Amino acid sequence: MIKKFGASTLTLLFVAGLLTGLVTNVKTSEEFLWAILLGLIFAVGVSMGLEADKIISMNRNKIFRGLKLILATITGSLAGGVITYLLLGDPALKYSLAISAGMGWYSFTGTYLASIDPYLGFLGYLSNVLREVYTYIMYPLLGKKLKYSSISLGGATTMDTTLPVIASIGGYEAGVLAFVHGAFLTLLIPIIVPALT
Amino acid sequence: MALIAGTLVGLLLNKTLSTERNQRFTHTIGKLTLSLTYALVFFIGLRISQVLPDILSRGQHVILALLAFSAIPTVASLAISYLVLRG
Repeated sequence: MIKKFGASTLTLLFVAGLLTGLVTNVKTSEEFLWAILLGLIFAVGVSMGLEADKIISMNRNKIFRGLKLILATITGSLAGGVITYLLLGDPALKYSLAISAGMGWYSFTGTYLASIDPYLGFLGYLSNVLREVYTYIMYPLLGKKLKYSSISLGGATTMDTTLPVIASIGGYEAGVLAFVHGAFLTLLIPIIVPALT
Repeated sequence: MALIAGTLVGLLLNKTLSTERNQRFTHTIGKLTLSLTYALVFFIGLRISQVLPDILSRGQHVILALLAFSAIPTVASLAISYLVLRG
């Protein structure tokens, strides 16, 4: 499984990148960003394949519940994109949908959208980072009563960064469901986000 | 393509490696993923710095957009999941 990312380290690195760009005027090419992104996606794929046993070992009822949860998370995220577009009117609907379809995978969404427009990359990155932060705050509050449906808060992050919070509050079953939920979303996001743009 | 290729490689390794080697390799891939994520986040920051003055000139709208794009899809996901799973 992907190791836990330190939210503070990521914030520091993002700020360091911003400051480096502002102070030194160093620029980065899109091709370079894409190369790192493809490497990351490949590594995530390898990680999934290595942990396929966890998913295969689940019984049918749990898989069915997991699939319902995945569909609900995708539907909710896309509905959220539409609502946000209706409230703000900017960016265009397809980009609003793409930002919300990032479902917490900020490194992918941020990089992909930055290749279209850096402002979209900014929104795609930070709004998905915030989704992870909300999960850290909200799951402990809701997880006791809604231990399964609250998993959808974390989107794709439930297979790595937010998994420890979910497993410790929701229990072992919620932890396994969260892993499957996050794993499938991680497979689907690189298909959904480009398809929307 | 990269994701499919990676998954196939992972499945192949899953079938061929012993449990101990599988765990070690999973750990190494985890570290690689972490390093690539760190690199990507730094370079996203660098890329965004090129348009930061333009982004900041949008003022309040940027903050509103960030809050809306993070909170609304998150809450909508929770609401629909609750309706579907009831628990």
